[in-house]
Amino acid sequence: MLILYLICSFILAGFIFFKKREKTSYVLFCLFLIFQISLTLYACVHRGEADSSYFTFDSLGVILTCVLTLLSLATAYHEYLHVKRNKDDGRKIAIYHAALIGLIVSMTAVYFAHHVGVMWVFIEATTLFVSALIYHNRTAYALEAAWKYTFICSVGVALAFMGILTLSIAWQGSGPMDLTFASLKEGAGQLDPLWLKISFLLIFTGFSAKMGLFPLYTVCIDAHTASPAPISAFISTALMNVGFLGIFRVYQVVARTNIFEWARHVLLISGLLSIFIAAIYLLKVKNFKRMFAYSSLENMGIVAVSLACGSIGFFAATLHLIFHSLAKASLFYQIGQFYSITHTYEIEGSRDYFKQNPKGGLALIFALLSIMAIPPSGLFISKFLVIQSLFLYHYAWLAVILLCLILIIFFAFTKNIIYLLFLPGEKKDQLSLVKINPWETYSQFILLTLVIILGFFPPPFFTAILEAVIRESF
Amino acid sequence: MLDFFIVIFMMTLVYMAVAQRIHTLIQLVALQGVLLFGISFIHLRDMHLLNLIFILAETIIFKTLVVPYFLLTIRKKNKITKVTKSSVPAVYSLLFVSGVIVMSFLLGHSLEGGPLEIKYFIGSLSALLAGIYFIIVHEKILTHVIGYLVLENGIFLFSIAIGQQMPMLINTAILLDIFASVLILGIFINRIGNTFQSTSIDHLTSLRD
Repeated sequence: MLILYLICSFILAGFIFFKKREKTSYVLFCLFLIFQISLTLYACVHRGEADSSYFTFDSLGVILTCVLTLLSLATAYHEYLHVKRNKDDGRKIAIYHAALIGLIVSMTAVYFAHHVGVMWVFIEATTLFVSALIYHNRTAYALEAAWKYTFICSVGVALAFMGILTLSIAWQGSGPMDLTFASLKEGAGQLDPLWLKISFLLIFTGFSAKMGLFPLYTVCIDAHTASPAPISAFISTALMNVGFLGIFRVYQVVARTNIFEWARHVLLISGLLSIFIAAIYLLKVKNFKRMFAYSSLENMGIVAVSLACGSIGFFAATLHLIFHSLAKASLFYQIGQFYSITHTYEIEGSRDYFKQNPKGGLALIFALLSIMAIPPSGLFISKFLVIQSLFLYHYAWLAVILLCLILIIFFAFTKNIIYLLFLPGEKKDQLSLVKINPWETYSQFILLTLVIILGFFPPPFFTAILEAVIRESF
Repeated sequence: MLDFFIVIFMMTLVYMAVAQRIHTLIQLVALQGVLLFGISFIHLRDMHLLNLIFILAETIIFKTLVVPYFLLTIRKKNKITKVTKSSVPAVYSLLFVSGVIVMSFLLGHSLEGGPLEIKYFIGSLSALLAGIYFIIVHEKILTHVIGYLVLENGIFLFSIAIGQQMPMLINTAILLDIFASVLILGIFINRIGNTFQSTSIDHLTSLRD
């Protein structure tokens, strides 16, 4: 099924790319979305089953694909409005749609990949499609971000490949090594610890460029800043989940060896440094999109820290990834709306937004509460579990440092949003000319409401998938 | 013969550290392609014939001809002749790359008896570190790409070492080559030259806090 989906989707993307007609491009993109929804439903029904020797519908992949599909629909809608406002020509729209299809397909393939080499190939493919999307506006600014993203990610992906090579060298069993995750987990005891350490470090460093985590986090910040807002929403959520998965699949193998303690410390250090850097930069940031990008760095740092804290930590990490994806996407969609009214992302001088766009302002308040993990946000539960697991693992001092850093981030983030919403600004007549489609804001409310419902009133199927994720992972 | 090729491969790294002309650097990248062709041919002789032909063709076509040709065209188009600005003098680069090779030797010998043939490990680790070093110290986008290609050659050398047992990995390494050539060389460098009227990273500094 997945192979068929891959072939059909890439044919659609190719057709859109070569045809370069606006109407054809929209029709085929809608057709692709139907494919995507169908595949997601199929994966939900066949959860836990192997699709081919290279793909498996495991629970973690299924839940992340559900989030991806939901965000694909929201992004498609916001992207449609963005393109209409910018009056882009047919050629640009076609490239945009083709690249977006390529990106969604590659991410879906990474989520379900059961072979380390196949996963790497699709992660590499995401770089190609993302760079085309970042460069959509064709400005010098976008070109710079696209170049940096492509180059650093290529170096990262090359390092990760070196990691996969060393992983195969670590094999001490008889016969050639099978690089499927199931075999790697089964044969983890036969991996040479030194080579496995080198392998984990290389893969972790390489995929940190995708996850937006220390050390190669900088490219993600630039990419989120320069992309069109709907794309920023997409790559700061679903694409970061791809990076997480790349690291996590190898971490699962390491968890069955005697270097597990060492790997946990690597994650803790990287996670804490990410949160620390985010806290420092959030205090002096001058651009709203960069501010959200640093917030993503913080959240990925929290995910890394929680991964290091056993099964409760892993449960918290999964919840955090899901809720962060929904809340952060809403923030980026809303800032895109803000840009269409004010034509700026600069923090300096941006004032009185609540008066200019009351519905948008309300969505921004709602999104702020969500991302800052204030109850009833679902992120409160995941952050609470992270802190709890740190105490359980006797890292009380780390929990205190983490709480202090979160407090700094809360102050910096909230201050800028409150100023934007309520500080009186100059009157600008042209602002009244911009009409905002109410559904644009409603879609953000839907995502934010999901963060509350899934966090505090989880439906049985959601709980069942989460339980299966924990069961299958460790 | 294999040892000879690997030693020459490492000597190209030392030469790259002191080379000041972009043309020379590109020629050295092409020479590395020829050396990798020789190494693949000798080491992978027993491999399935079709797969061997595919690998050999890739090293000759992509690494030795297409990529260097692309680089030379871009060099001519943007009129870049020398590595004009480098934050580190050539003599320090020479010392660093020599140090990297010595360190790789020492590290390699400490791992002797392990599952990997040490000569490949030494060659590839030297190229990997030298490639990252070139990316860091040079200020032209073109020299960054050359650094990336050196890094990639190091990885390719590493994949050859285990290519007999796992041909899939070596094919994946080839994919990395093709990806780099199409994306980095074909699309972006020309556009950067057109947009900023220069291929220096000095112009790529608007995205910062």
